[in-house]
Amino acid sequence: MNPAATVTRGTGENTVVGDDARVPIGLTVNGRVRTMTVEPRTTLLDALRDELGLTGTKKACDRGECGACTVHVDGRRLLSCMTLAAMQDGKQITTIEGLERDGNLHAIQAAFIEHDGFQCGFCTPGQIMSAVAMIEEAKADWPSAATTDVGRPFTIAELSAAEIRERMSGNLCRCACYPNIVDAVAEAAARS
Amino acid sequence: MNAIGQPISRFDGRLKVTGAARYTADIPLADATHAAIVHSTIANGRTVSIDTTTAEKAPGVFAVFTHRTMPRMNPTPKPWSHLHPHGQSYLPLQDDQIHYAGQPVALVVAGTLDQAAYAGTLIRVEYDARRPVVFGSQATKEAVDPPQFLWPVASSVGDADKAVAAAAVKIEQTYTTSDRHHNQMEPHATTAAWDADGTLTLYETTQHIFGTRELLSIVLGIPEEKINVVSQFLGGGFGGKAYVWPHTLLAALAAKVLKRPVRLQLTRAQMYAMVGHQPATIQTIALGAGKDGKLTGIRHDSISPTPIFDSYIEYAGLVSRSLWAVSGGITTKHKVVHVHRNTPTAMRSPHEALGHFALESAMDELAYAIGIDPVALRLRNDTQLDPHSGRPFSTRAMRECLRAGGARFGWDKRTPEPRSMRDGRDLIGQGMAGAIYTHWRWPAKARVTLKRDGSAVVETGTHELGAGTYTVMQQVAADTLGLAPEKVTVRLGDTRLPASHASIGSSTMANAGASVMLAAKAARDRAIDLTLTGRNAPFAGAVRGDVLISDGRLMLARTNLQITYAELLARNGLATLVGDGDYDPVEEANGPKAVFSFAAVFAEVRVDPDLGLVRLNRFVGAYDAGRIINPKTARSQAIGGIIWGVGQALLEQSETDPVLGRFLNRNYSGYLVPTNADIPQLETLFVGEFDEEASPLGAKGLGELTAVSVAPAIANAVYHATGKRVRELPITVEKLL
Repeated sequence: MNPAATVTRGTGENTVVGDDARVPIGLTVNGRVRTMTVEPRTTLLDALRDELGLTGTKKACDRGECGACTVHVDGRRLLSCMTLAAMQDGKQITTIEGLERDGNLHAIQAAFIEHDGFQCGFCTPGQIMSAVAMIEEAKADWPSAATTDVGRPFTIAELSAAEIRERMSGNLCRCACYPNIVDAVAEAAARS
Repeated sequence: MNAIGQPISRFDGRLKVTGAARYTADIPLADATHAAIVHSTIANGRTVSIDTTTAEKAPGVFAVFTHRTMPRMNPTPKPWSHLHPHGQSYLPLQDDQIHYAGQPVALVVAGTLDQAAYAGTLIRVEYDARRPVVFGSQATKEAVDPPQFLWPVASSVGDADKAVAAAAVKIEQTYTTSDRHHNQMEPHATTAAWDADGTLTLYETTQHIFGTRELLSIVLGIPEEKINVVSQFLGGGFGGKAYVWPHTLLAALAAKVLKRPVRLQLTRAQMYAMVGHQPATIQTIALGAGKDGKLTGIRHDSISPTPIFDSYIEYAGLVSRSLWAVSGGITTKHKVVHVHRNTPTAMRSPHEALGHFALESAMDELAYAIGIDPVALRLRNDTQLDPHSGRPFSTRAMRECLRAGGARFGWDKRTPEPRSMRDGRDLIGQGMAGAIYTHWRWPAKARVTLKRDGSAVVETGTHELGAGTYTVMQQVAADTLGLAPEKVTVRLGDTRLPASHASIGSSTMANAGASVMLAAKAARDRAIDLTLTGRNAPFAGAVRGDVLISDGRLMLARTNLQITYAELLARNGLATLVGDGDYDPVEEANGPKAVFSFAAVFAEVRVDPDLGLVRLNRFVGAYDAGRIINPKTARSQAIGGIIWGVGQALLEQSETDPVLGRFLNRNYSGYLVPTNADIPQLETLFVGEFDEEASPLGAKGLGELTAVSVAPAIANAVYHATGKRVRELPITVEKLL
């Protein structure tokens, strides 16, 4: 083996942030106003987990590729690892902990149990948050890449298995419960 | 009442759908600090200097550890053992050597995760870098014989060389599989906390709490009774969390030095080098057969990469030792090539899923060479005697797998000629494969406690990886005790519970399940004793065999006499009644019969003739995994296994930079796993029966079996669709253009 050139790594000459500056923010999380200070670089995901202790939202890839950290911001699904907490100041956030009503599971949660739409359960909060928002998107006539005719409004009656697969493909599941997830979402969508 | 065999929904379902299930990184700990690993950017050489001065002054930083400051560890024990399994023998931050890219060179501990990660970027490392050795085209020349690992490295029955040489029909081909990474959704995470009295509590993403405890005890030099390991929910394991990896040791030692809890969660990218992976294989198969398709000889050789410092062996040849009857002889041989990478490890389904791709592809080639149907070829080579050990199989429903699976799939409607089936302009292909999977027997302990309120608690140190362990243990205990399942609570995943084995090799149901059954029996028998001889015994003078139990009520046959568990405990002044289960089976290899699970799987693909794009159209799997305890969770495991195999067949490959020697595609964008849109409806059939040799529960392993032979079935279907035989996984578009 030939010795190669000596390489160096690191940014030792970088200016260090002078102080541990934190910014105050207020979020309405699951209906409750929560105020806190966060580092400007802290993601919404880390703020939910580390500042508020809402650990139902999972960190799996931390770069917007897997959907495990999906939450609702002002009613729309969003990857909480891809946004900074400070950017969501004043917003309405719903996490998996906020889906139950008076101790009753949301219809999607119940359908996931009935259809065994999970195994290890780690991606499940993200799958469920995605599914809840996805059904609302379908109800609002949003088409998807699987929609055959985008020239006319989509209707929820057209929410086929192929549509659900496409619309849920931003949420990876390594235990691979996909067919069961499709069944759970289809049942909950039909009921809603 | 029979809870066993019922498709019961998961006991832990509500916790999982509400976000209340606490995984390792979710455990709240006061004063927890966050650690971040800085890793080597070179794959071979040494660190000349590591300048941590700026990082140490960064906001929030408690400490920066390098090989100069990390406390020393004891060497990993030899020989390697499942009882204290290290992922790799080379220990982190103990010297200046670099043996693989991504190796830890520093550990930063800070108040927040962002502070730790940022401070890590301020560390300046100077290397003396050398050109790494990578697994490549010269592999066959550099391959060496490794020392024995899990099984003998080579095997020989009869004279395979002579049989193949003399055979009327020969298939000799080389098949390759790619490096793959587990990519569990949950990244590996550790939280280490030391009490004032020197007790370490380790919250760990592990499939093996007791093995973790034993290894930590040895390497860190602390008594086992001073270590608790906790893993109550695991976000996927697939073999990758079965052994102890370097970062766990770092977190434990850093927490000890700092006297504060340390949490360390690997980033997705770090999971490509800090923990194991499935090594690539280069497999050469020679099949000899008569013109009737009966096998006369098999030679199956495999080469796989391993690090400079370890000899991990991927036993791809294992399948050829036992799957089909062979009249003349079978030889298998495994070699390794030492390269600059981290140590590979078991990944669903280790050994078998790789070896089956070669063997069952070669069987398809044999079927075409002779002009015989692939299912008929397997039926012709079916056997009730294990060719390797000479022992009869305990149960082997291969024939039923082939028949039932083929019937459900509609195999009889297939036209055999390649490119003979179409749907519009798409080519349709149908392929199949057989499968065999090793059965593991391991000791396990459990405790079942009947309580005065008529409920019961199961306690055993096994794990929930997603297979439904909480649920199936509840079912086993409920049936044995004669209780409704909802009366049974299950506690798992803590070394303060009775010791169980690793949750690997699809062994949990058969072994940990058996210990729960024995513990429940012991508790039940003590209750029956009380009905016969206890205080104011209701069945005094009766014989035990006449005592029946249902719905928590003990009844004496042919009488109206009865008493509930709750009344019985109260009458005897007992708060609880405890039964211990100690399952201590003979090792499989030393038993009178050969125990394996079996399957036959059928795939249909659709191939775009212009783009070479392969889509799975439908899939049928027929499985002999003995008695099925819960058909709902078993089906989920099976579809998960099939999809795992789809990834192996069509998508997954960890690419190595040939010059830098590092894995390149270290994220879900570069390393493709199946998504929801990739998967059609899948059909699963369970055709097995109670297997008393496998387990007192009658169950054989299922989870790994279902990921075996998916790849060859798909590859065979691709051949049928296109006429192109792809012998290198994954089957990506460029291989079909």
